[in-house]
Amino acid sequence: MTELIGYNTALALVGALLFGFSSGHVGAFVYLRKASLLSDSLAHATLPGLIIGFLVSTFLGMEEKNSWVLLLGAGASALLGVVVIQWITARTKLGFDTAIAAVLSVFFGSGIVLLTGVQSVSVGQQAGLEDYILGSVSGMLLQDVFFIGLVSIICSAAVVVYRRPLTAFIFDPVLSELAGYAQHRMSFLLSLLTLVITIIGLKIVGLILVVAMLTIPAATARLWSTCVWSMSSLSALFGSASAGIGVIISALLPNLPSGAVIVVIMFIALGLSIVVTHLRGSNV
Amino acid sequence: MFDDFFLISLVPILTGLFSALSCTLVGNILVLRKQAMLSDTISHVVLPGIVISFLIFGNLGPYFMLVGAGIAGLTAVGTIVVLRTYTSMDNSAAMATTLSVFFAAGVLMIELTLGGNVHLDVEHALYGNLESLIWIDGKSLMSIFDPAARQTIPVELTRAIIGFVLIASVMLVFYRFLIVSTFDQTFAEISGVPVGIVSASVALAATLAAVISFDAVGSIIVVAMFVCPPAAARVLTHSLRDQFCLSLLFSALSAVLGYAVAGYFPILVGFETSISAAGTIATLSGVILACAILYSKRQRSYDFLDGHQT
Repeated sequence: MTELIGYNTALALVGALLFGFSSGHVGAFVYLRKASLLSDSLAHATLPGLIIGFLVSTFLGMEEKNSWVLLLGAGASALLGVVVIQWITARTKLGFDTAIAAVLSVFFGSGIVLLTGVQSVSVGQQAGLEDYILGSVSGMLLQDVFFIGLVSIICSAAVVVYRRPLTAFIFDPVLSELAGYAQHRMSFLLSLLTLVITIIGLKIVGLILVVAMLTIPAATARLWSTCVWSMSSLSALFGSASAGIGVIISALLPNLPSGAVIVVIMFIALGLSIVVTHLRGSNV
Repeated sequence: MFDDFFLISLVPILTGLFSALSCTLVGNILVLRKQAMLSDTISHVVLPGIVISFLIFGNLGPYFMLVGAGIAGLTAVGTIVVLRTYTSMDNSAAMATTLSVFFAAGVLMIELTLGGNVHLDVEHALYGNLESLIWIDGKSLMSIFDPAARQTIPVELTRAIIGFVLIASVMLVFYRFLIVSTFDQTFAEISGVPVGIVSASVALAATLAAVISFDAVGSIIVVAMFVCPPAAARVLTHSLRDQFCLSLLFSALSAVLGYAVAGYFPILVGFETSISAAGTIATLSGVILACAILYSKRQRSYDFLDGHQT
């Protein structure tokens, strides 16, 4: 395998397969909750944190490729984004859509202010930052793959453990409340899973396209199944398969950004599924 | 400090101003319709439209770009409708799918046809470049009345003004249609208002506003101009006319002040170069929104994530 596609691509492939699996898994529940665009907002909200993390790691004299500090910063600023969205929806009459759009654009805008500030202070050292915007698997290290794999497995495990409360919360909030799973806690759990998937997806698909990983496989799986368990499993498989194929294609054709390839493959699968399921006459 | 105002600052300020005002006009409607994220979708979707019209017409036709982007915007709205009809997707999932697929297609098209400069070009599309709009012959106030000097005004400004006038006049003419179908769709349908056409026109107007602002302020900061001023005005007012006026004021304030802060603040602090004007404008509109929310009285309470259900 490694002779065929090279060590680097093999690493990226493993990371993408695991990440695709867990993003599809979590995405199924996010999709059923009708909150797909939340991850788009959170992904854009990571930018200021990424850059602050970059500055901190530069000032502390760490290696350039140290992604731990960057991801920590990204997570912190996305978490702030969740809090702000919650604050806006709880305090005003503005809708959820307005809240996530405001957080998305303002966080991203302030991130760009910071980015241009960084560029004017330290020229030429921010090369690693652009990879997080469009995604690039070429520079992935063994420790990155370990990290992505571990977090993916934890997310999938959390989905398996909480599948019943999550299902109850999505389809019958009163039941989940009565069963002892408070709505705000389940809502926070789902937001947290979305946030974590978004963060680890930054490296593979980039912050603009990570929302597709949580949405398209789930929508495809929903066409083929009518129960939550089979849908989330199928969604995980679809996500894993498209991420794997996308990484291989982007490795074979030079310079194609992996995120864009993965998204196009997932959309082709969705289109085929729509045609086939309608020809079969199955229900939607 | 103000010697080169007409050369360097006038055109970017005006372009930013008119872009922001156009976006805010349409944004008021989007916020009321609970379709704020449509602005995000459209601002991503215009990328392939612009790439395709660039491939066909080259740099020759800055107005062809509008056509390409307009077609892309309408195709995207069509895709959203198709996805919602043939799958179980809700609006949010359909928009998420459409925006990511169109954007990915745009990125791949740039990469496959225009060569390896993808990061630069996509970056330009994302961040915009307000600072690059220099008016070469702009020497003083009198240059505005000099036809020869007017020839060198960047086309972005002309486009932004035409777009703003177009959007504002269409909205004024169809104001009643727009309002009735926004607030009470059933009543509008019974009264014979073509609700479908109105919705498509809103999407088209949003596309137009996004495209004229695209070059100057970048695709994502466009979203801030669509959403933040109307949201801030919505929190503070109780009538639609007040909301429109206040949001336009907020929008103009963030556009002009944002450019000034980006241009002059780093110099005052002691840095060599300036920071992104587009990013500063977006940040400032967010600050205004936050102040508005803090200033307003506590309003109705929503469950987290369920705000979109009314």
